[in-house]
Amino acid sequence: MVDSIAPRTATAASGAATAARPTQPGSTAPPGSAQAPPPRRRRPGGTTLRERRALRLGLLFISPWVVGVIAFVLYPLAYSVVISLTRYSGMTTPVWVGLDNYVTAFRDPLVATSVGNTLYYVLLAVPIGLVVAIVLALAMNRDVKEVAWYRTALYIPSLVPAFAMSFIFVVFVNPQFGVFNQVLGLFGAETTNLLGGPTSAKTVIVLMAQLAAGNAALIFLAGLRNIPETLYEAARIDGAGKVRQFFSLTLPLLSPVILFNLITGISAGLQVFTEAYVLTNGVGGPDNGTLFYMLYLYKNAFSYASLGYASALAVLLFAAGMALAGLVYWLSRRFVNYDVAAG
Amino acid sequence: MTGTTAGMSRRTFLAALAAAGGAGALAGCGGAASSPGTIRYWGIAGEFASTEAQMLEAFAQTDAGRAVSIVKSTVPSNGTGDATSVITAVRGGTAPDVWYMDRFSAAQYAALGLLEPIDDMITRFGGDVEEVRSRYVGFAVDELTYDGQLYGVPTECDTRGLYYNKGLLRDNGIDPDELDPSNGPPTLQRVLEISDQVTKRNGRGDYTQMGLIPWDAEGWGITWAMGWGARFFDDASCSLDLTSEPVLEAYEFLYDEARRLDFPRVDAFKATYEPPNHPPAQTSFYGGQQGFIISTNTYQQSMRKYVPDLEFGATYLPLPEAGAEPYTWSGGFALVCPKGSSLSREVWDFMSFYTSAQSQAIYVPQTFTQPTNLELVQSRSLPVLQQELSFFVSQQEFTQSRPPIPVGQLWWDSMSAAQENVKLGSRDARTALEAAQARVAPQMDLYCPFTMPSGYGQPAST
Repeated sequence: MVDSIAPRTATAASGAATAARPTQPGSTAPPGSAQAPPPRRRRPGGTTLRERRALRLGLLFISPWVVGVIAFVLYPLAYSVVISLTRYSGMTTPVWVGLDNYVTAFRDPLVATSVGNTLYYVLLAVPIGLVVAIVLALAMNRDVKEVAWYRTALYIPSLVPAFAMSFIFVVFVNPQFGVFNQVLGLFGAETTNLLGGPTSAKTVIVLMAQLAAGNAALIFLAGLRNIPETLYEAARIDGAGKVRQFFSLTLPLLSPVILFNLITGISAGLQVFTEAYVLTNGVGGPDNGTLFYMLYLYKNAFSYASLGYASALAVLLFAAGMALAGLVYWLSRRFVNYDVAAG
Repeated sequence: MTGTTAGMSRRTFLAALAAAGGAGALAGCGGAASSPGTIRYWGIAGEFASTEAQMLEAFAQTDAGRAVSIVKSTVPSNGTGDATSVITAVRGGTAPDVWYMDRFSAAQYAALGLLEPIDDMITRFGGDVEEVRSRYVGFAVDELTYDGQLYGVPTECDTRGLYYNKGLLRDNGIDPDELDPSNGPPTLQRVLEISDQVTKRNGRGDYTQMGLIPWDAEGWGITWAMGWGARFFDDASCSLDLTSEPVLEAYEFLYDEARRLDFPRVDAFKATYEPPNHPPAQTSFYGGQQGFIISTNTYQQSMRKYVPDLEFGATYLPLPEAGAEPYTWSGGFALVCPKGSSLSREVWDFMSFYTSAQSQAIYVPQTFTQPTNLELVQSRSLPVLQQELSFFVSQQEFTQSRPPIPVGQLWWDSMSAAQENVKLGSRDARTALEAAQARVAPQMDLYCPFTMPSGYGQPAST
């Protein structure tokens, strides 16, 4: 019986996709039904006055968002694309240089370095972050009296701004007195400055990111609470142990949340900036080891005032981010299960 | 209410809303210009804000300053070479009239169009640009000169020297008097000998006490390169030469020392006693774990504050070759006018007073900076200039600034990156410097033809 859980889930998943699709009020209801009155005064565009009014009202309600997106997302995006084709300091007249900035970006060794650093960060921080967040969510989901305290305690580090967290973490990695080196010292490791090596400094930043796992954990917690207890009961009756329940039930039903956290995690990972900026005073050292893509972009824009070049880097990051999100989404169709959402 | 009327009223409502919003936006955009008699000033934050308040108060007592209202704000510091705040303010039309900034970036910001030249403002109010230039030490004015025009006035300066902990040296069998500046500059070889003599390790091989860490604090690759006699820019060919023999020798010295001292161990030593973002009182020199440090005159101010009992001396930077000329370099701050400044009479009166002998006489004793006003430098009329700062002020005779080039920040970052390479041993000196050259030279080419301020790098006439 337990074995039947997976196929049943898969079957339901296809139905879920249909059910989850939002319905259009008024557009699909049959004429004369209680939900929608019969269409009146149909106009050449094929819409009724009521529909037009509903549309206008709807647009008015979402207008703050629409204005926000146009003014703060679409306009800057389009503007970035335009100035990425120029040499521009922000003060003087931009000089048209065509695709020169893009050519430079592909030849600039520091772009390669910063892409390498960023990928290193994303490939480590995102998967580790998912595991840590799921573990935290499971801990937050324990059926004990003090659960509210646990939730608070586990979430609190996420409330500390990255800026402050960076300062705290420096103490943890102190070569002689920090907890990391104390532990490494037990195994006979040499006293080292973890922030002094290009690779170890990046790794420190990956570890630091885990202290903010509480946000993702909250979303996972919501996902866990959404899984009906009856499924677990059924699984228990079928003889599934805790581990089997986790891998055959919890994890598949949590997959939409995992997908969401994966995409936002990758997106945030590609833009990692604050920790390196604070820990290295904006330098990106040692030896460019924490020169993440965003930090290099920022330096080009505000230290060297090469806004054109910085915009080209931004456009490339946008394209890469979109491509990665698309890839993850495409891959996810095979793994994500919307069974709970359908229920 | 019919649909049409409702639509009309909604339309009217929306139009009114849009008009109100638009008017609000316009109101937000405007109103940036200073009203007459007012100066919007981005000034000193933190510890010395109260010192500056005394200077502003002194200005308010003068005839020129009596009717002037100074609206001071302190913007979050973006660090040297990071002009995020001011670029944003200029673009948003809310730039201050006067901005207190690290003058190393002046040539670059001038080249970008971020700053206004002040020559016209000076002459418009009856001043003479040459006379203004002659009020200040030459190397400081050089840093504020771009393309023959003046872009600000220097407020103070700092100069590098070699500090030593007298007690630590004495405890290790070295007579600190040997390093007294009256004996002239020490040689690099001798300083390294003393360093080795004071260096100690614990049972695990970790350093617990060190002498000179060549790359520490102000021991930049470029500081040493100046010791070997480097000139970074050639006027004749309008080009940077970052792989010239003196630069190469300096970076090879750093590479060799980093290997000899075992860089990761040294790094662990520094990070133990002086971790990143450490509190100002926590340094390995203050803590008595480090015998030497290359730093500026202002270091004395914090020593007086945090370790008043520390017995220290300061002397010339070590000479790579015995008998060579002494060398050092100086930086400091300046008052400049960002694009959009009112460039009014009040602005010039304020800048002029702020850098006067009267005003610097307030600032210098409290901050242990050096004056840039020649009257004060030559007269040594303040007690602090005859005592604590005496040696550093004497270095003004031969100090120079960093090259005031339009790609200054890129040059600095690239030279620092090369220094990181040789410290960690990821590249040898030549390869590291070639990478720096490849990064900066093409950017510099965009600004050619360009020449350095006349007399740059020549001994000052103080």
